[in-house]
Amino acid sequence: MEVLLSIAILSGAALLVYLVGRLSRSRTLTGFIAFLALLGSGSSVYQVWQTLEEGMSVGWPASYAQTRLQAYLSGNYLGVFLAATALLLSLLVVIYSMRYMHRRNIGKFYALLLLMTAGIVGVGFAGDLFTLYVLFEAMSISSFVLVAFEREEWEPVEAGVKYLVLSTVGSLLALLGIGVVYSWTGTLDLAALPSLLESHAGSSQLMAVVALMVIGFGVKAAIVPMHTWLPDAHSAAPSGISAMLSGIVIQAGLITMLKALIALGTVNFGMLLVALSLVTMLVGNLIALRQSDLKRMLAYSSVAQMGYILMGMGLALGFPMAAGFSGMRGALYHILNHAIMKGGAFLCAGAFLWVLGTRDMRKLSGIGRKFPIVGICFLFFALALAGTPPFNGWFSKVLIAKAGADVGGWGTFMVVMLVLNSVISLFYYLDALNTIVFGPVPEDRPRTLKPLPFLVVLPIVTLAILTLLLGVLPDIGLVIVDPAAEYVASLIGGGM
Amino acid sequence: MSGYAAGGVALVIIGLYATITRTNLLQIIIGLEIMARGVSLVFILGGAQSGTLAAAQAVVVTTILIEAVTVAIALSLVVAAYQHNKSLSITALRRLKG
Repeated sequence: MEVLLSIAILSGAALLVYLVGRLSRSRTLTGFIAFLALLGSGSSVYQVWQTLEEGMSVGWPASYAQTRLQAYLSGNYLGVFLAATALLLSLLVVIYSMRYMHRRNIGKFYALLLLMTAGIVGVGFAGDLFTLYVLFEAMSISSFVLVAFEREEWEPVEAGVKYLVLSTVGSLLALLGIGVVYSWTGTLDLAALPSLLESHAGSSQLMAVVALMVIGFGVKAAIVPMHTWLPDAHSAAPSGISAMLSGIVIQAGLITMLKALIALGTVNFGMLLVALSLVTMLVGNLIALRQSDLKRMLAYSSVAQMGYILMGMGLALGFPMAAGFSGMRGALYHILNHAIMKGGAFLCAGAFLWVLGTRDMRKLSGIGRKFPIVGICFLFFALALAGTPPFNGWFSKVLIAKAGADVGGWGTFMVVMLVLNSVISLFYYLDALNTIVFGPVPEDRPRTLKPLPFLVVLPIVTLAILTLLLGVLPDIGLVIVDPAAEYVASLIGGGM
Repeated sequence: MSGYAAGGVALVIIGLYATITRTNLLQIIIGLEIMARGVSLVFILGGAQSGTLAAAQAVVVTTILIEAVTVAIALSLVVAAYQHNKSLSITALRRLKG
C-alpha cells in the first residue's frame, strides 16, 4: 500500500497544485503544497524501506497473480534508491522555482513537475513490464511539456518537437519489444520472466527484443547515437527542469532499461553496453569541449556522465561474478552524485541566466565574483563533475574504476578510457571556471545587478554542501546505494 | 497467428519509415500513430495466443490513452511551431546547433 501511496500522493497533489495555482497565482503557496506532497511521498518511501529492512515484501496488489488491469507495483531497494534521489532533487527544484519561475502558469509548472517525479518514483517500483512502460511514459510526457514550457520562444518549441518525436519513437519500439515478450509468455511479471524465457535463450528473436529495448529506452537515457535531442532539450528547458532532466530523468530511463533487460534474463548484453558506454563518454566529452553556451556544455557533459554510469552497469551485467556488485555500486552511486552535482550546476547556470539573461560563457565572464556564494558553489560543482577529489564525483568514479579492475582484461582498458575522459572533462570545466568565476568583468555590464532571491540561492548551497559532504564522507551515500546494488547483483546472479 | 503478428510488426515498420522520411510535421505524427497501432495489434494477438485476452485489452486501452495524450501535446507543439514559422516543414527546425 505504501508503494502505491508514494506515487498517488504526488499525482493527487498535482491536481490540487494546478487548481490552487489557477485560483491564487501565488508562487509561494503552490510551491509550498508541492513541497508538502514531496515530503509526504518521501515518508511513504521511507516506510517501504523500513518494511524491506524487516525482510517483508511490499507490493500493490500483494502479488502479481492478484493484479487487475495490468497494474503491479512491488517495493524494492532499487526503487527506494531511485525515489530518494528523485525526491531530494525535486524538493530543491520546487524551492528554487518558487522565485525563479514567472507567476503566470505556475500551477501548471508545479503540477507537471510533480507528475514527472511520480513517474520517476513509479519506474523504480514498477513490478511488471507494462506498468514500467506506463510510468515511464508518464515521466516522458510531463517532461515534453516542461521542456516546451515557454512556448512564446522559438528554442523550447524546436527542442520540444525533436524531443517528443524521438522519445515517442523510442518508447513505441520498446513497447513492441514488450508486446513480443508478452505474446511468447502471456505474462509481464518482471520476477517470472527470466525463467519463462529460458526456452528462447540465444534465439535471434530474443536478440531482436534486446535490441528494441536498448534502442527504445536508450533514447531516453541519451546513449550515443540516440542522444541528439538532449543538448537542445536540456538547454531550452527552464533551469530547474534542466536540473531534473539531467540529474534524474535520463538516469531513470537507464534504470528502466536495466529493469527490462534483467527481466529478459539469459542474454549476455553486458559487453554491448560497455561498448556503447565507451562511445557515449567520448562523444559527450569531445563535443562538450567546444561549447560556448553554458547550459549546452553541461548537457553534453551529461551525455558523457551517462557513459560512466553505463560503463559500471555494463561491467556488472557482463561479468556478474567478478563485478556484479562493484559495478552496480559504482553506477548507482554515480547516479546519486550526478543528480547532486549536475543538478546544482544547472541551478547555478539558471541563476546566472536569471540575472544577466544570457547563457553565453563569454558574456557571463566574472559573474561568479559578483555573486560569490553562487560562484563558490559553481566551483564545487564543476570540480566535482570533472572528478577531482575531495568532491563526490571523484569517489563514485573510483568505484566504477574498481569494477573495471575487478574484471581485468577489457575492464582495465575501460578504466584507462575512464581516466582519459575525466582528463578531457577537466579541460572544459576548468575553462568554464576560469571564465565564469575568475574571468574579467565586461565593461558594458551594468554596475548594479538585481540581487538573487534567497530561495534561489538556498537549493544551490544545499547541493554544494552535499557535493562536499558525500566526497569527504562517502559512507553516508552508501547507506542507500549498497542495498540497491546488492538487490540488482542478486537479480543478475552476481557475487559480492 | 504469427502471420497476423508479422502484420503488426509491418505496421510498426511502415510507421517508422514515415516518421523518418517525411518532412511534414503532421505526417510525422501520423507515422507515430501508425506505429502505435501496430504495437497494439501485436499485444492483442499476444493476448489471444496466450489466452489472456482480458489483460491484453487492458494494456491496449491504456496504450491508446497514452497515445492520445502524446498526440495532443505533439499537435500543440506543431501549432506553436507553425505560429513562429508559418511552415509545417521540419527543415525549419534546424536552428539549434552545436
